Amino acid sequence: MKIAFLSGKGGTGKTLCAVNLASVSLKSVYVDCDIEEPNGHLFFKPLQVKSENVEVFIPNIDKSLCDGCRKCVDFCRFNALGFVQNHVVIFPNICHSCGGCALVCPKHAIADVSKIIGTIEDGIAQEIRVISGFLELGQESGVPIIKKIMNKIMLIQDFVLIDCPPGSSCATVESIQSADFCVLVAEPTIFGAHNLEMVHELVKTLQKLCGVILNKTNGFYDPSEEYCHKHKIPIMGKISYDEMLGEINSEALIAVRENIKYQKMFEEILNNIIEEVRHETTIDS
Amino acid sequence: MKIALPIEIANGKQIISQAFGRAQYFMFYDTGNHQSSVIENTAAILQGGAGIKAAQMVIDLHAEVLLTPQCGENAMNLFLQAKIKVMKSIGKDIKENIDMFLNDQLNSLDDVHPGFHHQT
Repeated sequence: MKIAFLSGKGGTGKTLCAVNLASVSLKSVYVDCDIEEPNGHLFFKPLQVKSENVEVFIPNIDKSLCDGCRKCVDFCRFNALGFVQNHVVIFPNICHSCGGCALVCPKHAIADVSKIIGTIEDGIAQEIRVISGFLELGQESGVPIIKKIMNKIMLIQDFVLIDCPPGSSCATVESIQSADFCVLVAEPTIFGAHNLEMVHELVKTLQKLCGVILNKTNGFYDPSEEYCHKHKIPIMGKISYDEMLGEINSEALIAVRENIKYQKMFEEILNNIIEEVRHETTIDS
Repeated sequence: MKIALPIEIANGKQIISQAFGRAQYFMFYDTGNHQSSVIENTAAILQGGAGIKAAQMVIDLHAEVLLTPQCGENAMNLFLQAKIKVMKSIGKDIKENIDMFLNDQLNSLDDVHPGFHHQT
């Protein structure tokens, strides 16, 4: 079973939930797809870490073969190629590595050189396997890293928790492709409800099952909860605003291992999620 | 000599645009016959790489000089390779800027705009 954790903005508690729910599961795989700022590994401190590079295709023009037909320049929908004084100029940071320019070149003058855009680390922390993607500074898109992580976890049968990048961009879309269920983590503000709506629209479009964790609740009116009722989204759990929890988290400690009260809370949320997935998949089949 | 300028239309009047890659139009002024022409900047609506595409239009239409208030890093890279002079325009008036350029009163645009991407 693969569960993805999403939110429309950063700092709602995706990592808090994914890390703690992974820790109350018997055997699990925690996958950090928040490649711009992966921080799950700071909590798990995995050992026996194996690191691999993620490379992408960048075109390289053989000037002796190029006759200046401009087919590649016209083809590139990302405008990563310019044409000046009869030669092609490449902008590697704009290039999306689609490889289309090499395909349309009638002279076969475009070869690929690879560029390293980041790494994937794969390690073990007690019973938990920890896989994290890291995008190098200054790189435009981390989607190829997430694609590679998705290939890696495709065949894993264990309980997988995917910590997604914030927002509803391509990186998030890629991260939830293989998820059986999406957990949307939301804050109790108008802004929080707006961000919840953004990711809810996304999971609806991708026809994913979903539920919500309401984080930092304070007993007052919660626009995110209202949104859930209005759109009939099941609530997997509520985490009340709690300074002790914040403090434990800020020290990169895993709350469920520090205090039995948090262990019980996250166990209950985990059960709710598993029940919801079972229930929904039975209805579907 | 052909001079290019990014322009927009405000209150029915043509003025210099504050953006280069996402300007509405480009004006080309020929100092030989004093004729000017205006083309739509089709790069303005692109999601990414607008500066590169806009610079390509200016290059392909054989401008030798560009008068603009700012210009991004990628576009500037192309202009340098195409040996197109990029001068910093002052204010919004098109004719005034052309006259100032012809009288050597404009400076080259040294400060390249870093772009609006990834601002935090």
